[in-house]
Amino acid sequence: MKPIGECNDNVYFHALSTCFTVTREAHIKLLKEFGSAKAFYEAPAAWLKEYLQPREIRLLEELREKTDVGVFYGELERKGIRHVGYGQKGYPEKLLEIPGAPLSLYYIGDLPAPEEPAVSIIGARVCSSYGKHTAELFAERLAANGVSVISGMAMGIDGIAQSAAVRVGGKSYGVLGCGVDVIYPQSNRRLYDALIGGSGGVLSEYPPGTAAQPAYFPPRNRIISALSDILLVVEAREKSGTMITVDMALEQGREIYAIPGRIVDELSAGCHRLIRQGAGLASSPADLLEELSKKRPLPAVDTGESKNSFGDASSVKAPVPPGLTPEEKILWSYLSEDPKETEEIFAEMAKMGDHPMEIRELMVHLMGLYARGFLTREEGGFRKKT
Amino acid sequence: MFSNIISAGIIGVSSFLVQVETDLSTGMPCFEMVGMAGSSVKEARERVKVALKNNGFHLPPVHITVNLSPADVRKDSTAYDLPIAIGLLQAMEEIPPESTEGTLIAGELGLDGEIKSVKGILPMVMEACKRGIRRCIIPEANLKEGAVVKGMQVYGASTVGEVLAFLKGDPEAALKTEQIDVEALLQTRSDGEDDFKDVKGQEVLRRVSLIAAAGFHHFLMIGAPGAGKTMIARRIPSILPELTPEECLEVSSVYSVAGKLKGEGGLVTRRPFLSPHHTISEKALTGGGNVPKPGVISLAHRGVLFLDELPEYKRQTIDLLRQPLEDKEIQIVRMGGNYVYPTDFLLVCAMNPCPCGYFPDRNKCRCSDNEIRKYLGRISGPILDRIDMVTSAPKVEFDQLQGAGGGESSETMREKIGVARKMQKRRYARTKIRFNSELSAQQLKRYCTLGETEEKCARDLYESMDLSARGYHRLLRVARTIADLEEQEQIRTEHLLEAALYRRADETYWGMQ
Ligand SMILES: [Zn+2]
Repeated sequence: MKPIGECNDNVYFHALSTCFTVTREAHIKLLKEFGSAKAFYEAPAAWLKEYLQPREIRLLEELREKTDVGVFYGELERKGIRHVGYGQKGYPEKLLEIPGAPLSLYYIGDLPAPEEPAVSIIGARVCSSYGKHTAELFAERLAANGVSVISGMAMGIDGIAQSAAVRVGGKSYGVLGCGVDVIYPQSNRRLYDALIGGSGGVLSEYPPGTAAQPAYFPPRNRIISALSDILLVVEAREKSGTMITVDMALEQGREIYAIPGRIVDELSAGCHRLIRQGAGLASSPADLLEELSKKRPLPAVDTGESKNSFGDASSVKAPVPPGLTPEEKILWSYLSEDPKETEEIFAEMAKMGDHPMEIRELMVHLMGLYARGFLTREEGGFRKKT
Repeated sequence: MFSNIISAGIIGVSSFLVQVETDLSTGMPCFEMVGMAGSSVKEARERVKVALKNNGFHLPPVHITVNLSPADVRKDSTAYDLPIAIGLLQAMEEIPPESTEGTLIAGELGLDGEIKSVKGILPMVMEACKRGIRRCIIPEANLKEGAVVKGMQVYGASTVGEVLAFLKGDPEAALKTEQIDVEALLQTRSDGEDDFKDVKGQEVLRRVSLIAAAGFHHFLMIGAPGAGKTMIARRIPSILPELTPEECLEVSSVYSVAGKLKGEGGLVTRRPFLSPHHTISEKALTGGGNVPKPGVISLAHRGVLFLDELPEYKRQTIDLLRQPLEDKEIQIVRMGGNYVYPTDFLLVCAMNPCPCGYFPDRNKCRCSDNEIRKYLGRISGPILDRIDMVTSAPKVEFDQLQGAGGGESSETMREKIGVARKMQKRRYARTKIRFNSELSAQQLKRYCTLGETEEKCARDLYESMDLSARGYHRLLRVARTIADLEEQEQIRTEHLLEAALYRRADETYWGMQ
């Protein structure tokens, strides 16, 4: 597609975005009709009446009256915020095609490059331990294989997946429901700093300073799915915001994958429904890597450590560690990738009855495995380290 | 005429003798009371006047002065009613002077002359005994608590008339008297007490209770409602070593002063278990008031203080526990006295893992990480700092199977604890230390030396669990107790590993980032 308008048209895009906040299809339609953001911005109010809300026109007129767009644009640069308008050089191609493409993108750090394979990982804000660990597992291994992880930097699955990608030296992009200079939620401040500090970037269609508002979150999900090749759903209840994002992704023609869970877990019900409706079943990161490589060869991964620790993307099961004593081997067979409390393990062993251990012995063996780094410990108990 | 009666007052849980001096002299008729008398003593004047009148004695129209000495200690008790009445009768020459010699008298009077029970009889009689007094006349309702003091002839009276007849030497007038042997009393263990043998499953909590009772380690249980936290806590007193006679008198003194021995008749013979609701006022918890009274933490002395739903308590309330936990006593300063109450209790706490209680079961719990963090954050650091062990208590459906190891009785557990207590007693024989939980960082170096393998294990744990120095010290103290339970002077790797299991607060719950 040919860039619309002149080189410095971006300044007008910024001005327009300031008046509209959430881009609607009408905006893009007008833009195409006027041929440039400048023409759109300078159009007489009478011409716009039919297409825009009175509030939008009022804001536009006010802005035109009071503001020098060049100076206005300069403020962005002063804040270290980058900006690109629809169809301008640097505007992600993947976004051009979608219905309701954003008029502007503001970003700090980078935008995903066109050749960069990307997976968006999304899911419940309040997730289970299983969701947390599968999100981490997929994000780590995808990132280590040169795949960018895109998400909404929200609490729960979003932030967990993005943090994991960053941790292994991969790239991740956070699409925000507020201005890119607003950190929300505050608990993800560290992730935010990492993203803008070389591990990817944060982007938003909302002008800088826009505070997080519930109404701004659903629209940004269309950008998350649009920027990625695959949308991976980790955990979602049957009725949830995640499912809305999936609908958008389907509309945009993106591949959907979902991670299965146990049939009794409400947090997996959404994923199961998706799989039933034809979404790919993500049983290991390898499933996604294979799907991605169909489109284009995956970039060569850095050799060395990342290859060694994450090279085998097909296994999500913890291998039996070497050098276990016979008792520890028995205990190992009672442990899983899901956390279990000491009391639960004890009860299971007693129930099976083949190797009853005294509680004291059980504790010592558990902590022995833990001290050697084979187990992790969290709120739900002990878990095999994957 | 003049008379002098011995009585006693209470400050904190200790008692002091009081001389009730009565003087009748000619002059303007009046009834004067001196010697730092509190309001309840001033009211004694009216009660005594009416009680005597109703028993046929009218105060003579003279100048009456009653002095309570020593005069520099505040006295605020109704126990002076009876000695004042007797002193008056003696000054009125109704009773022979020698009849009250070497006799402690205490009791409250009703308007009809009835003698009512008073607080603090036990420490009063104990103090009197120490000071060489060999005879006491106390309210009949308090007779049993006075009767436990060895070498003391204790009489219980129910009316002022009875006392009068008794002191006049009326052969018909015998006051009730009793002798109770504390040791024998302690040996009669009543059945039907909460026992660990009724607990099925919860092996981890059972083990934690055992270690806590052995080394006097305060602990916290985190678990969903219905996991049996309260059931476990209630049974801790049953595995603590039985009260020694000295401890029994100590605890009973607190209850006596609080007026809580009433009804029971005898003494507190079982380790107390106190479980105050989280809405408890600060005053009720720590003690206090205009006329100070012991609080719940003192009633739990030598027993267990159980705080269920710990995050629900007000932060200031919980912070009040810091000093008593450290000093094992609490001081309340009031005009005319410094009240000291003992507070040597085992602290057992319980809480849910999240506001709704069901985390990490996400089918039930929808609390966000933030909400959970906030909930946990309500527990103040200084209190966590005094808790040696933290453990989770999941709700496990337990099949009752043979060989499952459940159902160990409190008695068996008490025996194991006895072994560990003996080890500690021997090791700390020449020090002030009683339990492993009291070891300071310096003392840990001396009493918890580690071999080379153990040193490495400890270092690994220290690093992998990201322990603080304090956390590491607590781990060592608990490991010391685990070794003691196995009668081992040397701490081994397995002891360290097990102790590390009880240090989960450092890395999971309060490590949530
Ligand atoms: Zn909850």
